[in-house]
Amino acid sequence: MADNPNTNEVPIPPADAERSSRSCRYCIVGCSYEVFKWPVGEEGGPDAADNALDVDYPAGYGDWPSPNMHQIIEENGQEYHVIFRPNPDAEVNNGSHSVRGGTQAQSLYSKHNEDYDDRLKQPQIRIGGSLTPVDWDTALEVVARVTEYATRDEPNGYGMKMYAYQFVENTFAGSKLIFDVIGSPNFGFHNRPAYTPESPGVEHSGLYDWSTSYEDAAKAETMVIAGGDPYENQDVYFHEYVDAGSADIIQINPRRTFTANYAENNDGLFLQINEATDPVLLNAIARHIVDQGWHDQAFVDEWVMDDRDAIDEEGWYQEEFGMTPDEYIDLLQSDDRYAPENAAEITGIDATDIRDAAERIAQPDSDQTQTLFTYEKGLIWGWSHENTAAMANLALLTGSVGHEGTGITRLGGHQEGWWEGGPGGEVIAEHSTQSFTGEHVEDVPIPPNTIERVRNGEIDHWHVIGNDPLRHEHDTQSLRNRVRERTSGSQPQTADVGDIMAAFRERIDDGGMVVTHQEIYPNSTTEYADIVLPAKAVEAGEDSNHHRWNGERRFRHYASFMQGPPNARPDWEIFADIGRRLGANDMDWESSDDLFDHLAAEHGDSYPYHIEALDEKAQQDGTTPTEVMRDLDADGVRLPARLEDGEIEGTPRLHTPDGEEMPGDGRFFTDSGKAIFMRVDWDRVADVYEQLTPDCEAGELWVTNGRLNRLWQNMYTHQRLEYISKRYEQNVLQLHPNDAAERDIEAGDLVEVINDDVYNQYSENEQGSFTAVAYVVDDEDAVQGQTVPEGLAFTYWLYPGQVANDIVPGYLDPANPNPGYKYATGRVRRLGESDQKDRMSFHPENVAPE
Amino acid sequence: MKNDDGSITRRRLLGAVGTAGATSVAGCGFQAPTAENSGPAESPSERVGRIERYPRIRVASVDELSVGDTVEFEYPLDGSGTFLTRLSEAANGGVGPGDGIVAFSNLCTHMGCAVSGNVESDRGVAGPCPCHYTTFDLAKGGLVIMGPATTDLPQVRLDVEDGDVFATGMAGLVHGRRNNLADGEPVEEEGE
Ligand code: SF4
Ligand code: FES
Repeated sequence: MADNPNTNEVPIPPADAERSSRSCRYCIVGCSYEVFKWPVGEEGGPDAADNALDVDYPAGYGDWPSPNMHQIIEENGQEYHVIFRPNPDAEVNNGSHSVRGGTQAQSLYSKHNEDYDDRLKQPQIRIGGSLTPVDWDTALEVVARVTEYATRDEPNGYGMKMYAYQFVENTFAGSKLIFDVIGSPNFGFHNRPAYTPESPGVEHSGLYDWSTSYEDAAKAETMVIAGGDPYENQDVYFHEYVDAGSADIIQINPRRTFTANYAENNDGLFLQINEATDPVLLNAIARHIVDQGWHDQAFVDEWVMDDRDAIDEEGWYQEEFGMTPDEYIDLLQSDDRYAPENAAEITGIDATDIRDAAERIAQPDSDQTQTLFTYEKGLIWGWSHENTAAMANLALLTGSVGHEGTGITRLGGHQEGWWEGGPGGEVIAEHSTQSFTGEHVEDVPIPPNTIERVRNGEIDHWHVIGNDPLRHEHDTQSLRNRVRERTSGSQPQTADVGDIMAAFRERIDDGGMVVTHQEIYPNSTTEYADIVLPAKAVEAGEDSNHHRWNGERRFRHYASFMQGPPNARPDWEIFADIGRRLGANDMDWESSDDLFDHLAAEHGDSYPYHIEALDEKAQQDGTTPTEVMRDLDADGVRLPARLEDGEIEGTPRLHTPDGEEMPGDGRFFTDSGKAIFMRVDWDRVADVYEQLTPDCEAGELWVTNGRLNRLWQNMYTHQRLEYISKRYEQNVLQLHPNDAAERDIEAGDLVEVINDDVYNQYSENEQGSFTAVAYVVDDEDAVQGQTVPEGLAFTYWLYPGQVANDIVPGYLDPANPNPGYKYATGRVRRLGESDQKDRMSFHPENVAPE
Repeated sequence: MKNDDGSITRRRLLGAVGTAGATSVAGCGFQAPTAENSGPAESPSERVGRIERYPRIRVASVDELSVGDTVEFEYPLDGSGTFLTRLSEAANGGVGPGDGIVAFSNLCTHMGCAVSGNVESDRGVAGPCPCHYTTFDLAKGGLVIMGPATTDLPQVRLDVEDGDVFATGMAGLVHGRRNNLADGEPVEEEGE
């Protein structure tokens, strides 16, 4: 009989238990949690008056702390109970939660948790081929000295790969280190190799990609969801806003997931698109809107730029891709591939459905549309310009922006917390070794693809923080081969800094590279690391207070409530220490609160997240910005923040007609305050599409990848958490039964996916492969249809040791080098029977209420 | 399905909320355990002194259960809704013909809505839950197939004696409870 861990009872916090507030450590929705902590041996009573939860037991709807919300931690010899309860009074989640957030107590630093032994607890340096514990001073002195050596001729020898989201204090200090102290342009985010926007087509059109309020999903009449699935990935947003509203959903996805069936069961539309053809569909919808005269001419006249010279002056990206309304409409109408009947052939979607979608989006009978456009990784990690620009164009064409129930927004992955601490743009303009030449611009410097610079030798010291690029990036099997070569030279033989540096200098002189990995758990990159720096898991409440925001720009205080591994350090502190060793004299913050107060006072206007008002409020009240944020508690403030009548006020949505929410700016993020249509031309990617398309004759399939509801990112916590990982003890490959039968594959078989020729735009194509358990659903059980169509397989994107990125093509947009992670192909073969045959549940995961 | 203003969704949600909050005040017949009926290791910990053991009650007769039949009953406390069903496949913890008879708590472990109206025994699942659509695999110990619940659906331990199915305990904490046997009155054992 399957059992749950720790299921027999959950203690009740006494009325005087310590309470703190923080948001979930995981997804973009940013649900609020209350943390209760009290000494083991004490317990509250079942009456509300006798417990800190204010709940009468047995607890009713939404009031119950489940067993997985409880854990015992130990600090200084004292054991404490900790309960993570979804905050019943928080605006975002009203006590709701997903399986991810609802189990986060199970990955606190506690000897009762399965991940305890795996946490990185002390600095290490690879000596004689093995990672060996050393003291902090030795480790950080080596990091500083090797950085100096790598940048002795030019700053580009240092490369940093860091998360974009892990709280403003950390990202500010880290980006200050690379852009201000070191001056290198070689920065890559955790999920892409360059300092690029994720939604270039949206951002360069003057729209912001987090511009709506969650309530807009509840108020919309039509909700377009492209390349994402909020039920699967943004659970509480789906439950509290999408499901609570009454919008007709238009779901665009190659797979029939839960939300696709939910859309169809609730009078919406499911457009099951052929992989990688979104720009054609979105342009076809736009063309039909224009052909029918359903577009919002008044909005376009007032708010979309029609002066070619002014568009060119906005910047090189706009000069290359920006269009006047006339040019845009001409592009749609002059290219017959965008006529619905022709688009149907490319996209696989009936012309009737294209017209139906156009009408639901444009709502020709309404003066003001109530259409909300949402998108996520299926668009972003594909043709990143075309896919995102086509969505932005539709929002502008129909004037669906800046009103309740309208707008365009990403659905999102992690929460957001990027705060630039140095002059990134200037450094890139001066030092980048990558440039772009297009139809209208020539040789403009662009953010460099750092993965290519790891491969080609430009980066000699690679500092990786809080991610695992040797599994997270594109074409990773080939990348690991290259990194193995570049780190296999001269090795330190003692822990003496002089000896270590002699070895690293020799390695670098021979074309090799030194890797520093700053992390909370070991992963694939740690296997190649020379220096390992153990970090505090501040996202889990360790060590210090921090701040970040969610998918509606809701900025909140995450109060620390526990210490974590005693000898680990928070990332901001590690950056500051390295910075000081490299000569910085302004990285001497005493605490994360001190850093945040400095940031709010001196750097409070990081586009478009104005927080200057926090400092004004602090000065007014004689407190600090940190205290202002702490007092805003679970609901925080939606940025930009402003001070009104002495109180902090937020901004529910951006791009409202009066533009008042943007201090000093107009309605859109352009110099003119107007938005810009973007060129979306299938010809720009059609050749690559042909090259990436699987060869059916050779038995190839599209092998796309994405999320599964209960698994978070690279599973850094979930791979170690029995309750979560038992659902998928190995990676899975969803296969249509006909594709499975053709290959003699049954549910539960172990299969291998091989790509013999992983596309690489810079170098030779190489082989890549991974294994997974075949997830094949019986047709009889697939009561609302098979999730994957014939010809397409789907796998979790980042299952440790069975990683789809090993076959992901190295195609990056030449203007904005983001990879098309979704567009992989491979042939699938049966290896044998896995141990999952009788253990894994192979029921459909897409059955929605009817 | 939703009304244009979404109101059905809310009503559906509220209507489906379970009864965990209805504390029983009946003062009947729970008696001290006998040695052979003492709870196995999985039963609630001795740390909570007032807990004794799970009651043993007859729930159904094997002969009267066809595949797809569902029987609702209360266990282990008055007001704790549970359901028993017969699957067409062998199940973890299943008893009877083909090990297909199983029983579970009726309360979804996400936020406590009732799932017994959404049992599909022929497919071996309970769900989607009417509130946030978690679906549980009844052949795999109440494992969450998909959805936001944070623990498996608590499974009732069954055994069969002389053609009758008895409930004897539970694996997993029931929604709303700090302990499956606290804050309520145990159901009455037969003959006691
Ligand atoms: S929906 Fe996201 S933020 Fe909310 S509990 Fe789940 S993982 Fe956390
Ligand atoms: S109560 Fe069942 S899924 Fe939420």
